[in-house]
Amino acid sequence: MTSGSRILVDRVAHLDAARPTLPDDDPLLSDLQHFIRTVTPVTRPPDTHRDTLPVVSPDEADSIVAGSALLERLRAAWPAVVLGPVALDRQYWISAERPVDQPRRHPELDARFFDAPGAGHARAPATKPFGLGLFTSTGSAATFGMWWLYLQDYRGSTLFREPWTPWRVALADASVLEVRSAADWAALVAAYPLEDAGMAFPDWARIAERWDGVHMTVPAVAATQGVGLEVGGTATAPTNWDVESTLWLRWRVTAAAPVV
Amino acid sequence: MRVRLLRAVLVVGAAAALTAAGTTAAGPPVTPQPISTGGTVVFTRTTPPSPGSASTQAAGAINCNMTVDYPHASGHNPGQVNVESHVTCDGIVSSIGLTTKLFRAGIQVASNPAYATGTFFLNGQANATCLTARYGGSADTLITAPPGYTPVSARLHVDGAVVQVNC
Repeated sequence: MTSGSRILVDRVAHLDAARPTLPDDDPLLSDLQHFIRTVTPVTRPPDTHRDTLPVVSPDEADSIVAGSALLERLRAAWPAVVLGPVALDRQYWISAERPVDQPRRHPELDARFFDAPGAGHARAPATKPFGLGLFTSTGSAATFGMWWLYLQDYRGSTLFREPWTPWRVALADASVLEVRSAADWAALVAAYPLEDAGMAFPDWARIAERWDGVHMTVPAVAATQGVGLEVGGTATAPTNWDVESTLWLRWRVTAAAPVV
Repeated sequence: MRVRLLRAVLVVGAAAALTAAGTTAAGPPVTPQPISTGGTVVFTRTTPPSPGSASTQAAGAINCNMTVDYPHASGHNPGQVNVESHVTCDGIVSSIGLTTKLFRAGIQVASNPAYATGTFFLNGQANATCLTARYGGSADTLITAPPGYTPVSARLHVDGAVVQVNC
């Protein structure tokens, strides 16, 4: 068993472990919240490089994650976030205020503030490129998506300052690459590689030449977060997507309005 | 005497932190509290649940654990360094108060309180402008058990790892 597979086995055990239930718990939201609390904590040093990276093969990663009972429940209850394809009619973007030492955020969602990846960008390689494109999560009747749920555990945060405003986003028909597994993520990085620190990152500028967006599903997050995937003679950099999201690399928004 | 004085200081500190959170003026009950240097505490049931009680607590003990993550350059908010702490219990407790601190080169640069009642989980975080340096995080929690458990409340303190963060 590799260091990466041990992390994933432990992760699945935590996902499926018994946990307390509050009197008014919604089972679906409780499962999603438990997923977020299990997967998102930063558990590796920030100076991770190829020699210290926990690695696992994509197939083994998917095989381990496929054994999760929690993911099976989510698959049945909310297929759009587990199986895809992304539900274009239920996408939400959440506006949060910036830390106090940064310029205030433009509170509206507008194409003028959309920063598309391109050849002119000199950005550090990233598996989840912030400050680039637009991120949305899939909502249901009970929530504005997993990013909204993530924020709920950070009330009073000085990093994600309130107010938090969910925006309902309408999108045109779009070409979206579905990442449903570790194998899908490894294939994406292998097709558009960007080498750095001995690891392979996705080249978002090149991906944007082909795709409007990339949809990271829940199983793909579970199977790739914090671990590297063996691809040929190298390894992918560990991801930190945290939650089901779609990264829009091109502006495909046809309408957007805050939810009040 | 030294132990008593330390306890008094810590209790006052906890009350101040929780008041600063703006969540409660009264704060949790101030009672003599065991002081743990570790990241775990066990609350043991001393009385059986009352018949017909709506309580979901059935366990004879509630285990709580606190962890502090590595400080890291925030991907969500570039230009910031962030540290997170987490308190997780395997049963519902009356309240959790949590203060997370961030240190740059050994000097505290951020402190942020969090508080929740009737929960089994609480996140905390502290962030500051990212300057290339060594960073560490720490967390202090005051966990108040539900009625019928001992100790009534407990404090935990955890120092996280000190790591280099390049901005």
